[in-house]
Amino acid sequence: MSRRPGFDPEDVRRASELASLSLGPGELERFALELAPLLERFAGIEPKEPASTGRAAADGPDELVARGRESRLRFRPDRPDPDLLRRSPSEGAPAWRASHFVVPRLPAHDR
Amino acid sequence: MNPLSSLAACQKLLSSRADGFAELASEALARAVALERGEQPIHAFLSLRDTAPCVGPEPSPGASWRAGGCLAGVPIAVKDNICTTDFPTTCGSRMLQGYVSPYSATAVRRLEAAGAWILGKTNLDEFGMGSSTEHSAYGPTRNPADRSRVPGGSSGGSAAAVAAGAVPAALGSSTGGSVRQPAALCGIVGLKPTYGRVSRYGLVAFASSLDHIGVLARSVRDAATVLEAIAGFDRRDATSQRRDPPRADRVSAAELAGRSIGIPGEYFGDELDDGVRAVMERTLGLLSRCGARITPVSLPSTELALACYYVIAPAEASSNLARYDGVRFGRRAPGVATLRELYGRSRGEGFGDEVKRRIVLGTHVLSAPRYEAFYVRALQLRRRVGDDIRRVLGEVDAIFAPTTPSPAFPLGSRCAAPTDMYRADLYTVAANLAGIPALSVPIGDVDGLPVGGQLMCGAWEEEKMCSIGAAIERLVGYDPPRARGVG
Repeated sequence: MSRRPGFDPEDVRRASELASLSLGPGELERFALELAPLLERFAGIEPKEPASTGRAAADGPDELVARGRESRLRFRPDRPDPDLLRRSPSEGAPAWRASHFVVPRLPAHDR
Repeated sequence: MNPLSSLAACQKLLSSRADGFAELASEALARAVALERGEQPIHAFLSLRDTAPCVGPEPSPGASWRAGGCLAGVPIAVKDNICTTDFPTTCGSRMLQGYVSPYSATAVRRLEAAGAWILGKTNLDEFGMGSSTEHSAYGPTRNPADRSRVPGGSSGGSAAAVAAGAVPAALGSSTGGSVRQPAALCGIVGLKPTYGRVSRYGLVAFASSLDHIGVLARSVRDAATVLEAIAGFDRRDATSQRRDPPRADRVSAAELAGRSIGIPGEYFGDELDDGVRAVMERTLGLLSRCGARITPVSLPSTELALACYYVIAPAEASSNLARYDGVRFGRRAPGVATLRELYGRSRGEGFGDEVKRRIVLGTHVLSAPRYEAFYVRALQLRRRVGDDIRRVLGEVDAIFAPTTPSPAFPLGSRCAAPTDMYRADLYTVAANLAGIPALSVPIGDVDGLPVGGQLMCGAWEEEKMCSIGAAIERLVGYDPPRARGVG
């Protein structure tokens, strides 16, 4: 039996920060308590029919969470955006060259 | 007799008197106002027309009740997460208090084009998140059959308004069962169409791959008539399909003999209340005596459906609700020093507990290390749920099961344990995940509390589903309990 992915107040704090959502006193602990059973129930679903549902469905939650950390998918950095008001407006402005905007490089160009 | 008890009763009054429209509208308004009064108000509505039209009113822009559309002159209520230009659209949230949309939803415009008169906007769980209409920032709605109990949710206001006889039909929305579940608990009909059948343009998004607009009415025929009026392709909704609307005149209650009705054993487990089980068994006996072929079937993914619903829906909600930040949309927190504080406090103060819970949950399951373990896996399980249902529907004409595990529960009894509340959706989420049409029909009661039976058919089979539903309705002959104290 694989270990269940936990859900604690630190997870709630991190998710609320990513979601730009201020939580009141006690909400971190309360939401963790209320939502943990739901995630545990999901994580406890036994994988079935790997051939028809693909590799991810055949793996347990631990394997998937571990694999998520080294995912093949390209994720954005999983952290809140920096506070825009602390940056100078020119930081976000496009660069100019010979009276034209310089098109920013796309991640795809870096591959 | 209440002239608002059915579309036919409305049409009878409208055709019998020159001032029939004014009288009907006044009656609807008086009944709606009465629902907001008393020691224990039903509180079905969040906003209402100020006055009923005088004799010989001009119809609202786009309306054609004089021209004799299929809903000509009929008062209809609309759930408050469906945009209207004539009323605020609050979604039951402090976040959108006083917000008036600059446009009306396609479904509302089609109602008006068919001649309907929008009476008001109905209460709901905030942004459609809930199963009891207790999660509204503007107070809970009560069940007209028993005011100490919930009407179900999230379209509880629409269900209560119809059950209490203020309107013959109302629009609701369903993401995991929010039309069928309140319909069942209030003793009326709830119809969720095939995904893509009714445009969601103007429906405030909760979980876009699951959101549907549906109909609540007192009979299957009336629900089918309203569905016909609002269905059809809309280029403004990318998921809308080019299909002819299902026709209400093709809904016939005549034939049950020879129909094969699949009964999924998983819907009759320990979770099912004994009283609901007894009502279901009595109904199955009636179906069998009428010649319907009752076929035991298996939907092994029933439990999976609820689990994957509560990953997918919050994930989509966390994304859809990101726009409510006090800048793009929604209430703005005062006295903040930084942009981050503005976002955080506006959202933290504007959203209620249930919405915050789901945003946290959705953000968690979409975060990088959890994405595959939860979200991607839930999408794969969703495919399995749909495959299960399609396999069964290849063998039978329809699936028939209880709509809810229990009748209406007491107000406040499940608020402290949200996961208990989520179990109320156990039997309804599968149809949303699979995108198939589903219909709840009242089939009896347990100590005066209504019980619904749910039909599910293949995609685009609303006419067949409504015909079977109408036959069950006629066979059972259930008379919904009259709302106490509202006539």
